[in-house]
Amino acid sequence: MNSKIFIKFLIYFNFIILQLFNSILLHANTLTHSIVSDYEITARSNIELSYFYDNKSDNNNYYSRARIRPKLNANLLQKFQLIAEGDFQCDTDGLATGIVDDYPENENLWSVRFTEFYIQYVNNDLQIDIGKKIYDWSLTDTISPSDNISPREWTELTNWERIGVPSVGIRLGSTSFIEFVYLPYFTPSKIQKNQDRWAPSVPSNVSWSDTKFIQKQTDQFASRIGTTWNSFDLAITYFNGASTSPSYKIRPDLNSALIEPEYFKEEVISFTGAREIMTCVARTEIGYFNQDGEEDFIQYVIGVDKDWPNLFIHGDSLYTMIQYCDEPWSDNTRQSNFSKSNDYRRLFNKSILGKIDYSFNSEKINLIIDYSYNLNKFSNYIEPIIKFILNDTDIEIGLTIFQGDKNTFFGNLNDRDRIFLRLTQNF
Amino acid sequence: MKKNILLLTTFFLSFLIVNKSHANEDNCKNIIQQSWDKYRNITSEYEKADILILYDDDRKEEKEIVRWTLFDSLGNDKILTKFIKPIRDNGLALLIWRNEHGDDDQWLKLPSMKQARRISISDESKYFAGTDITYEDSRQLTGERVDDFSYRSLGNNTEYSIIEAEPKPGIESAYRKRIIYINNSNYAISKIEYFNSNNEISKIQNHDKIIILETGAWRIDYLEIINFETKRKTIITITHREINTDINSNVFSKLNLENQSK
Repeated sequence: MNSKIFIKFLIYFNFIILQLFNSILLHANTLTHSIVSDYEITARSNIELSYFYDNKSDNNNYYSRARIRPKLNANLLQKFQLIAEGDFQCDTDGLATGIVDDYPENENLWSVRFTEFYIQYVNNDLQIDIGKKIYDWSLTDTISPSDNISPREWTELTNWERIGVPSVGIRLGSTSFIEFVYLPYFTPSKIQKNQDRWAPSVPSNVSWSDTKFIQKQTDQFASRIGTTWNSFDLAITYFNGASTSPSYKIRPDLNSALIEPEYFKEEVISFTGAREIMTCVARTEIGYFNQDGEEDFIQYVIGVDKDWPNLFIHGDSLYTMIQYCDEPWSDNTRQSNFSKSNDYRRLFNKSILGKIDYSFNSEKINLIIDYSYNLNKFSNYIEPIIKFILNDTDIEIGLTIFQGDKNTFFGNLNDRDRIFLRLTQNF
Repeated sequence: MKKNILLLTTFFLSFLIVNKSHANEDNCKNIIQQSWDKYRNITSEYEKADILILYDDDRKEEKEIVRWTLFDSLGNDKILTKFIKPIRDNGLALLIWRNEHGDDDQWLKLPSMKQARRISISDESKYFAGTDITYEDSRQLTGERVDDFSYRSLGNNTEYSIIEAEPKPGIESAYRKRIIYINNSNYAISKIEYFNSNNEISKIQNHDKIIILETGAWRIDYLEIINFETKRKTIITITHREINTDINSNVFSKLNLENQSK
């Protein structure tokens, strides 16, 4: 499809959707007035254009994405709340795939779904959440051994997201708390494969098969105990379910081979801690992964972050975060190097991850740099972005640059360097 | 003999001067303490406020916040501030636990993130959410710790006591000093002048509408901060206030900060 026509279509489409949305709300208001005592509706829309300026593969040189996410937050009766966020997105290059858990979804070009849709009940120390919800138990950035409940969507590699999961969550306590989450069935991550733009490159005689997964009816369970003690934020978590990143089996197939993503069950026990130390905030996580049918390993992440306000001119601010991730032990029973080097949970082993965020002019212009540098092999990325904040609109212009040896994760994306423009509108 | 009398007189006069300056400082400290004691003469508070930020180039921004405060007799107060408007800031929240014997704790929840994150209390001079209120100002919403500052009288008139406050050595503050104007009749703070590390005036905070609650506590319903460094003005208008209501202590937890509840 001609990109200029498509972009115009997306812009008009966003406008039409919003008008329809407002009109539906007006009618919904009278119908639900007796149940809903108070509600709030917001929305965000995104348009993104990317151009791969170093493309040497058969993939497209450019792609565009559009997205609109309306959100409803409503008080129902007493002590009950409904939180719902819809998500309509389309992508000229195709979305990452997983199980189609929402209808309709057409050939990965577009999807309509609820990101979250759950009822929350809060009564003093007790909180119960039932429905589709995103869980984020991470204390560290990007890599988190304790954050295993919500699978990931990797349509955008450097801007990945968590996926909401059907679940029942119960939390008791506030400063010190205990929490249980039950997931009646398995929702896989949406991973890059085949000709997806961030898919690992494979030899020409190798192809991708459908994802195998543990039975969809496989239930999962997670629990967490946490507290704040002596200015330490501490938690211990336990997870029993499928990992957020599949393992990959290479199966011979006549004169070629098939890569078969496959999910295994795992148990993860982790510890997290954060505290201010000498004007910085230190954060750490360590987790033991006991995988059924795959190798077991221990992973830790340790990092510090700090803010420097009024650094160069009054009203500016520099935020820096630096983290190190490593695996001090594994039992080395992994079946293929391809599997290990494409496990999203383990991409950053022996890597320094960091973020620099400098805001000029009281947060109206930001320079943001995300990066990862592997100390063990040549496999790095850097993503600098300039962000302009104009009332309810954000405009971001950025680059994503990958570097590395062939057969490393980021090295395989050497020709995927891009320049992008991202517009976000808040309603 | 004459020499001894001279020495004794000098010693006695020096003693009087030093004593007088200490008495002066103690008196100023007492005035500040009394002011904050009156301010804290409630157990809890719930406020809604409109914030208007005016820039030099005629731009303006409007925000709306909700704030819960729990006053503790031992000084272990808790403050939760949530932004309601604009849309972009909806979900932005700051939780502060003041610790009388130890460092304060702070957590920040950004709209784009599910998790609240612990942030450093050493970011005193950083402005919060694009307003002229720093993180230090936010922590001192429940009062300042008078033992952390040295106080000196700059004079009195019939209406105000004018007191200069400087952080003692070892105390971190965003301000080199503050000049505080305290109303002699009700001990309400009417105005504060803030000075930066270069001893230049950084901002002036005028409390244009002071009210006295039924408990005797003073409150500001309208305040204006003129910031000479950022060249903007922040105007805060309290639109709703409830005091001494039964606010559950769970409100002031990190988990509540992460809740999307209104």
